[in-house]
Amino acid sequence: MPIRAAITLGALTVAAVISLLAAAKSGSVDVSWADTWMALTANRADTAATVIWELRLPRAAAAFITGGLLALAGALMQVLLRNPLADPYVLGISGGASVGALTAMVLGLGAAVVSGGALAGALLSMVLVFGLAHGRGGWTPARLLLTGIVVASGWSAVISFLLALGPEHELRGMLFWLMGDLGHAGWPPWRGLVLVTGLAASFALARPLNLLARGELQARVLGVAVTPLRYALFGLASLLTAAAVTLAGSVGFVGLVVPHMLRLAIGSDHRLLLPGAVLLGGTLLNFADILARTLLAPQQLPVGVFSAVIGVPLFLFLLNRGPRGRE
Amino acid sequence: MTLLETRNLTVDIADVHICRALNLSVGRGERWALLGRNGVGKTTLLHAMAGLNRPVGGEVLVQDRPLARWGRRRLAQQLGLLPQDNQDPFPATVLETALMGRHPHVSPWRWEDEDDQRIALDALAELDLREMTHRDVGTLSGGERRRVAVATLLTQNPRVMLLDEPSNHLDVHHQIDVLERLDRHAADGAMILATHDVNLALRFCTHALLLFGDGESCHGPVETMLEREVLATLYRHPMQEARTEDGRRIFVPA
Repeated sequence: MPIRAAITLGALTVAAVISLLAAAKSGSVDVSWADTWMALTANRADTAATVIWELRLPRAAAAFITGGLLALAGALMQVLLRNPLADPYVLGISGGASVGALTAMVLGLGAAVVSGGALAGALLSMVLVFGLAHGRGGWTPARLLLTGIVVASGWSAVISFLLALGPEHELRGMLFWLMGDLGHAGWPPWRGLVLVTGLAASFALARPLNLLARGELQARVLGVAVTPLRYALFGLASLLTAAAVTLAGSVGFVGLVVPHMLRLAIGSDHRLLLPGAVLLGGTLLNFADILARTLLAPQQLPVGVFSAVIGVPLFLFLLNRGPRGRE
Repeated sequence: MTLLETRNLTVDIADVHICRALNLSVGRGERWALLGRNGVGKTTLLHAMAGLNRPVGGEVLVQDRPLARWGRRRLAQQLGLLPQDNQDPFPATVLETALMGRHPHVSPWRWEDEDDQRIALDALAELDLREMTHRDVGTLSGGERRRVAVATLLTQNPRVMLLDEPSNHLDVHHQIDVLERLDRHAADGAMILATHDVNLALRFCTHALLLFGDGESCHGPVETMLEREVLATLYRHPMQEARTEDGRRIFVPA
């Protein structure tokens, strides 16, 4: 492993831990660093410990996992479609999930049904795109991308329809859901499991991914079975996206930009890029969520707004500094 | 020993017949030139030989074993292809690109070690690229990028090399230099190169396979195949033959 990449991954791990500590400390109830530390390490039952363990840490975990899932899905999707502009939502997964979730909201059903509706919508969209793209002519990245974009446009029409139809008191919740909001995310244990298994599975595919990124022809002549790899990528990226979307709605930006940030910083080797994306995506979204719930506290803002507020300048800085190796 | 063989190979692409019942046997140390007009199917035929597309009829054998019975990874240890062009949608360094050639040799759970690095660096040095190992491939010129692709193939180190217009983008010095290196590498293996440069074929190849279009083809030793009239028919253009100062035959279009 190149030293530079090891240092970057180490720094990202440290940043991830700091983001979790900061999330435990910040919020509308003022808790000092000392009390935060005590609450985290000692087994106490005062207000600070309750707030941290029952409110802040679950939310921080949800933010971190969502960011990690999206960044990982984005990195995989960009290779699958061989398109640097691809993000986890480009194939319509989030559109399908949004339709499912908003339908549940329009009908006035509870949070569990909203989450279930989102999952059902995401899976429906996944099957739809897979089936439609897999016509007689085979499965080229261009065809898959076009199918996904068209299906996503279809979903967004349905979303507009549902918004027009939605009862007044549900509209705010629906908009927040569309912008990406962690306000209703509970403990996210199974998504954590999805993230860990997703990372392990994609890490196992990392070297073939490096070759696929250079084109199908190059990958096949160097010994990669491209078709099964593509199916695996599609399935993995879709499931990761579905898990993220059902947790926090359509949080934008993380999935598109985090993989590029890492390519600029440590290069395109997916054995480093994929774990790095999980760490950076999680950290970024965690800081974004801290801003979302403290800036106008006690009012909570949708996290999707702040992921871009942090990400855009960071990305422009890296882009401006130039990619490595271009000296 | 036969390294690559086609038996009754028939290849089509979109209603165009490329070859019909082609029986070809490429032995150790043989260098084949694949010549023909634009669109006659040179690339498609090379891809069929590499098992990248399914022929209409017949089969391709590598070391006497049909392609269908080779695993993709094992095949890549024996047979390599230099694609006509390369795409790099994501940033990567020259060294990372050359190291891709080690993929079929490095077991799935291992990282490339120092030996792999050394093989890739040697290949880069051979192609005059030692100074730019850490450059991004996106910053290279067309000719430099082409040499990186050749270095990737040398790093892969297959016995049979299928080369799709290897001299594309190269200046005359590097055309000769690259072909000499490939030629040396083919001494223990074989190479088939699709090209439009008849004189390069004359200089480096032992055999020639000519595709006339509509499924017509002929092949044989290069001295007997590359004649003025044959080439005129092949390219539908009159050709002239001349001698160089050191006595080699060359052909130029009239």
